[in-house]
Amino acid sequence: MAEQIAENQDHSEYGRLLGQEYLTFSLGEEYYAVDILKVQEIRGYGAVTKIANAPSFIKGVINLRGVIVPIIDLRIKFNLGKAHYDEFTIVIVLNLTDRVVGMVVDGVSDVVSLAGDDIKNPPDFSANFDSEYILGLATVDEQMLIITDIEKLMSSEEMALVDKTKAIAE
Amino acid sequence: MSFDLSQFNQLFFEETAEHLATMESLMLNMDVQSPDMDDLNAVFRAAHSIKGNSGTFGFNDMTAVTHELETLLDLVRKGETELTDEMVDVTLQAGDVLAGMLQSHQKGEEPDQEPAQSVIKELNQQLAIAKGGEVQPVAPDPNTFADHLPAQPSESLLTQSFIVRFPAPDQELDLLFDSLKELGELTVIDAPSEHSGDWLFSLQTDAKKEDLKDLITFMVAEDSLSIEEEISSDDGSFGFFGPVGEEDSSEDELGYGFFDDLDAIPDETRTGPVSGADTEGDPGYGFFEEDDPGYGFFEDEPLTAPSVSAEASALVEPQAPEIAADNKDDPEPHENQDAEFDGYGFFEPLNSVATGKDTEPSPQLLPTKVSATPEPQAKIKSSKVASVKNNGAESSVRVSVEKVDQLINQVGELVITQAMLAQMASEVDPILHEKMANGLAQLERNTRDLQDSVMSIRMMPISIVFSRFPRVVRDLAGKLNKKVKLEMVGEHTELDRSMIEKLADPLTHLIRNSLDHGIESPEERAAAGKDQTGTILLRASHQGGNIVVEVQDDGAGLNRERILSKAQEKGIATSESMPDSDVWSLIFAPGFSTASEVTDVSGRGVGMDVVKRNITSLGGRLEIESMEGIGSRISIRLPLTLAILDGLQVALGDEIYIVPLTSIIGSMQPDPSDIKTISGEGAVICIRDEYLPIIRLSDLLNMPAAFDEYEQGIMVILESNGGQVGLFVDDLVGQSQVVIKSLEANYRKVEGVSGATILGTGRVALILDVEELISMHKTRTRAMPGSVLV
Repeated sequence: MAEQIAENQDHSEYGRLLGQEYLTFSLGEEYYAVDILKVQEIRGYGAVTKIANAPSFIKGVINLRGVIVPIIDLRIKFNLGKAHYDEFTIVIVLNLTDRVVGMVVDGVSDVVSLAGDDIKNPPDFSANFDSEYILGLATVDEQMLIITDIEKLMSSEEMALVDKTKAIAE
Repeated sequence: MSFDLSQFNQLFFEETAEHLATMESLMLNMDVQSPDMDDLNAVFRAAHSIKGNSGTFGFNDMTAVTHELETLLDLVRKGETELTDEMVDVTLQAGDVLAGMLQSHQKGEEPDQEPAQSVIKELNQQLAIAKGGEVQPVAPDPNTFADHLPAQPSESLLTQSFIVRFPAPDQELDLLFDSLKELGELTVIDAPSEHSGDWLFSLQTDAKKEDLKDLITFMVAEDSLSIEEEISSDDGSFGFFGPVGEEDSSEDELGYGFFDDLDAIPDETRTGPVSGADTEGDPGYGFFEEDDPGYGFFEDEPLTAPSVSAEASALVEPQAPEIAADNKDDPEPHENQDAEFDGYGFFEPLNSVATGKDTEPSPQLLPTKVSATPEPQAKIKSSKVASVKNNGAESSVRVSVEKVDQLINQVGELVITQAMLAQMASEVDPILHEKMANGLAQLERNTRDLQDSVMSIRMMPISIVFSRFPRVVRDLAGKLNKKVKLEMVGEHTELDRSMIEKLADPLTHLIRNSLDHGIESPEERAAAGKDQTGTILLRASHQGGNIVVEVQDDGAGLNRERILSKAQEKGIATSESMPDSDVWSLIFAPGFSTASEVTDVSGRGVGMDVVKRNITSLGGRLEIESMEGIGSRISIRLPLTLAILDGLQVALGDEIYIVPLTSIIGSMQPDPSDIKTISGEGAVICIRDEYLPIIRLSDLLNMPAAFDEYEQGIMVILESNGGQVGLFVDDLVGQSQVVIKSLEANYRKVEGVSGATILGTGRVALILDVEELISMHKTRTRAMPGSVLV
């Protein structure tokens, strides 16, 4: 782990010149990365109020310093890993263009810098979700990272976060 | 003028619009036979303010109209002429003309002068009639103003006085003097004809020097104007010294100053007349601001106090002038007495001197009594006058809505924090932490008060929009040759300011419709055996968390056949068997009008669909009830888009939901024998011989409940839209005020839920939308037999 961090620091040096920084997180056996600028904070899971008639992956809403924020469990949504909740369950709070959303993941791994060339085009299929939401793939420490267009994913209809009519209007 | 007034134009527009509205509503309510003096004065004041402001801001066309209007109103106000219907009409007309001008100015256009000229002509005509055929132009004669002075309330509390001097300009100054007189007490010391060719006068006012300057520089070049602050804190002194000039003003100070600072007196006396006028205002203020001299006087000198105060009150009116005149003649006693009596004995010898001398009394000196008698009586009088004055001025601050919203949000956060603290405190031993508990209790009270006050900023009585309708009805009824009276109920119902504004147009449409289509002509009404005068009732009320505004008329009602045939004509799908309510809602279709001819009142068919759209955009609903020959009623139901809601917390499983208190009728532990099922599906509960459908919240929301059996939980009886239901929940938790937060900001609309809030524990709770719950329940029970069939 220590080496990894050291190496990442090199990466981030490099990234400042060329690339972008990504937050990587794990869902089951898979590793995903999102643009770190979309991440507002990382916090523990708790005090979630369930919402009536919501799909199972929408766990409910929390009070984030006076703001009502919906929480999505990506493990349930993509059927990855086991959805159990304890004091180690992690929520990544994303600050997207028009909303704040929290997503439950198995674990937050790292912050990595990826240059443009590090990111390869994704193949035309994806195991769990539409390749539409995948910006590309990258390899860090022999680990494949799925770089996700989180903005697009969260505002998609299948996440059921946005009103249908609203989505059409936008 | 050194700065640009246009930056304040917006303020002027808003204020003037307000004044115009006040004028109109007062005039409409005016009983012509016995007009209320207060109202007349208020109308006059409004006209006067418009005149003054429009003059200041350079809208001279408006000044001209208001000037005439004011002259007329002044006559009425002073009882010199009787108020007539024609006067009311011309006043209203002038108000309209002014409103038109205001609008043009607001858009930066030059208003059409023609209506102004014609209304001025009419005003003059009324004026001529009022004066018995004689129209006397108000001459800029200084004596006029001096003559007017005694009539002014002498005891008004004025705080500042100014000596103003400027060379006589070419223009007539009566406008300026009128404006100045509005600011306070004006005394002309010197008119141009007599002495130097300069105007010299003093003004006692609570206005600022800058304001004064602005007002005068509108008429007079700034560089030739001199405004000097006087030290006197009260009026009267200048009226009194007026004829003589300024020389005695220092002496005047002395009278006040000696209460405060005896040592200063000799110095002040020595100062020349002009510098005396410039002297710092402290002595006068100190005296008035600090009650001590006056009160201390009574406390320190209990023996002399009664006699002095008796004498002091004896000074009132008739004798006061003499004293004052005496002061003027002979300042000596002052100083002597200062030394001897330490200032407190001031009145005694003075009085004797005053009564001993027989100086010609001048009515202008009356105010002296206020300054010379620091006894409570005068104080009370002054403060009373001050408060009356405040009411008249309706002082207000204009703040942008965003700032208010921000404030409301922040108070909302505060309420949540307070609730959190209260929750935490409930977990500690109340005996050990008694002080903290007390402090928290106080915090709760204060928070609640703060919240109420903040909320009330946004809340406004619906009368703001209602107030325009008497005029609309009056004008329209005249135009349509109908007799209509408008009744308004619940004008004080308060709702959010933003809603009030958006309500104005739809309501105007509805009232016009009622007048044009609803109310029949007097002949028809007589033939139908109705009172010739139709009635339109405008009613606002709170109903179960909603604001309901109704427009009701006792006219002909909607004509089912005509609507149906018209709808068919327009190609709208109809059937003869449609229920009435469906037929009525046809009139909301775009372009729908059953009026046989298009008038300029209505009939173009653009009304009702716009009304509906406006109301829907406010989150409201429209309901029509109508009976042929009896009348119709259109109700607008608006949600209370308040940021805060009184709610009952109910528990269901692990969650807590908030039910708006306004929709709750009661709650009970149900007796299983009261619960019956209907065809094995829906259940009803029998309450007071009425069967209410039961909604199981857990079923409706798909949430786990702690209890399945009715006798274990609680039945909350809810009311919505006149229907009642029983909502079955696990438990009641408590009642609290909650801050409504939007779920939609980061999530989306959830059926059956109107919003969310944050509880004292920091958890989020959903606020139930009772009406939506009921309709959800209806669709589900309806859907169920269908699913069985499939």
